Amino acid sequence: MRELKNTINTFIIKSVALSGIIALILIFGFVIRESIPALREVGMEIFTSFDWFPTYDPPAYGILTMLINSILLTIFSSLIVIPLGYIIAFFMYDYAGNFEKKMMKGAIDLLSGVPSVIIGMFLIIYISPWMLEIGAWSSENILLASIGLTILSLPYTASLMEEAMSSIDKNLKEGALALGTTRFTTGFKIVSRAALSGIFNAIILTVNRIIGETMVVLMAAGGQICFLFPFLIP
Amino acid sequence: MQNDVIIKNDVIIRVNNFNAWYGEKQVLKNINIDFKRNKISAIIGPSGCGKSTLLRSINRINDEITSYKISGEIIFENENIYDKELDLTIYRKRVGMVFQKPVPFPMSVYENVAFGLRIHGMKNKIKIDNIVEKSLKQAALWDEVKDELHKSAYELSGGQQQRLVIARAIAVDPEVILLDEPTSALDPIATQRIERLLEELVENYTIIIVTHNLPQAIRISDYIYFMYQGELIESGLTSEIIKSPKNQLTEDYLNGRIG
Ligand SMILES: Nc1ncnc2c1ncn2[C@@H]1O[C@H](COP(=O)(O)OP(=O)(O)OP(=O)(O)O)[C@@H](O)[C@H]1O
Ligand SMILES: [Mg+2]
Repeated sequence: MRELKNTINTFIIKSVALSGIIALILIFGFVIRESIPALREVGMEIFTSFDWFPTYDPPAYGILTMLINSILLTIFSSLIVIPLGYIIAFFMYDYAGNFEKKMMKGAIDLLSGVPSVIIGMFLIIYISPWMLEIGAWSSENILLASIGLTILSLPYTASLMEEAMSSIDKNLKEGALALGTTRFTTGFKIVSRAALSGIFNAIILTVNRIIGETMVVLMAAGGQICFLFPFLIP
Repeated sequence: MQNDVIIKNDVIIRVNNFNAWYGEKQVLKNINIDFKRNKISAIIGPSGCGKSTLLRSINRINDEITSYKISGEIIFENENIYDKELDLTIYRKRVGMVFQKPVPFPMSVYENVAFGLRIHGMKNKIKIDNIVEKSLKQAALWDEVKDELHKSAYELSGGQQQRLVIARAIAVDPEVILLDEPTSALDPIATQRIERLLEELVENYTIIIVTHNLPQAIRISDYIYFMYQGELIESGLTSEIIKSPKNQLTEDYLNGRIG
């Protein structure tokens, strides 16, 4: 009887998991199939050309600019967000008192609830004019977009990393401290190392989020795409 | 006068009118103990009576628990360890602790023992190698790990991890070693080796051990401290307490009627 129940349970779980995977494959296949005619029309130009003038005659469909911009943007934003997120997480985990921790957690939760449109507006209205003043060539640039992405993903990154560190057995931390290890070394060399897989996870999710966030980028870096220097240039 | 000095020197840690709370709950009540130098002191008592709390207070590791509060003093070598001036890292090197639940560091067996040496400034590779080997031998672990020093410590069994944590603690050469039920996860042979280690160490170190194992306390300790519900009920030479406990509670505990 129990044997049977077990078999049924396994079957249900497996089929649910499988259906998810199948749906994913179908979506992927659909996207590729639907894009084949377009790709055939445009040819390799799509990956080799910087020109994106879909409304001209004849139209040009080079996405290279966008591709490179996306990659650069992801790299820059990650370089800001990941170390900063780790430092915040480290502080919250190790140095913040109970009250400080509560305040920071509250602020972080609030911040991560702000819709990206609001952050985009904020950038355009407040940060962008100031950037023009200090010498940016355009009101819409990649640095601005990076700032937006930072604001957007930092709370998320910091709280993920803090969770990864907090989930480590307290005994580990106490064992290190009891040996005369300083608070910093304990957090940095012992707890962080034990939490490494969780921290990696946080990094991957952060990069994912940065790549996936389009609204802020559209508003802050401009809809038009002109590839030159990454900073201070549209 | 002369006598006075000798008596003082005999005591390495003095617990003085010490009280401790977790939140509102008082778990140590006016504890007074003079721990003697170069002796094995055993703290015994039923579960929940505050033994770990007392030990953790001596290492000051309970500072980590936010609801924890104290009053009174603990004096180590004429210095109040709850003084704000105290350098905790140096103090904890001198008064090391082995916890009830052993958790190795997330690194190799070798690095687990070497870590303490490195953080206290030792750089010489040969010296570190020697101390790692010596500590692992003392903790009765060397024979089992000598061929796989660089495998992760998490691959060791529970009992091996326990001995690794002991090796880690003695490697930094503390003056006092606090042990919270160090043999509760060990088989009789490893237990015996640890007991022998403690008897060896006590010539140069002071050992304070919490144990649930009454025969063990009787076997190895010079002094016994019996606690009950946060209070120190009775203390004295092990041989005397065993023979003629003065307090009814102590007698009941020794006869297995409580705890
Ligand atoms: N972190 C904590 N927060 C709140 N209460 C605690 C905490 N740690 C221990 N206590 C309480 O303090 C009392 C003493 O605990 P302690 O761990 O010192 O007992 P113990 O004598 O070591 O027991 P055992 O033999 O089971 O290890 C217990 O009643 C316990 O419930
Ligand atoms: Mg205990």
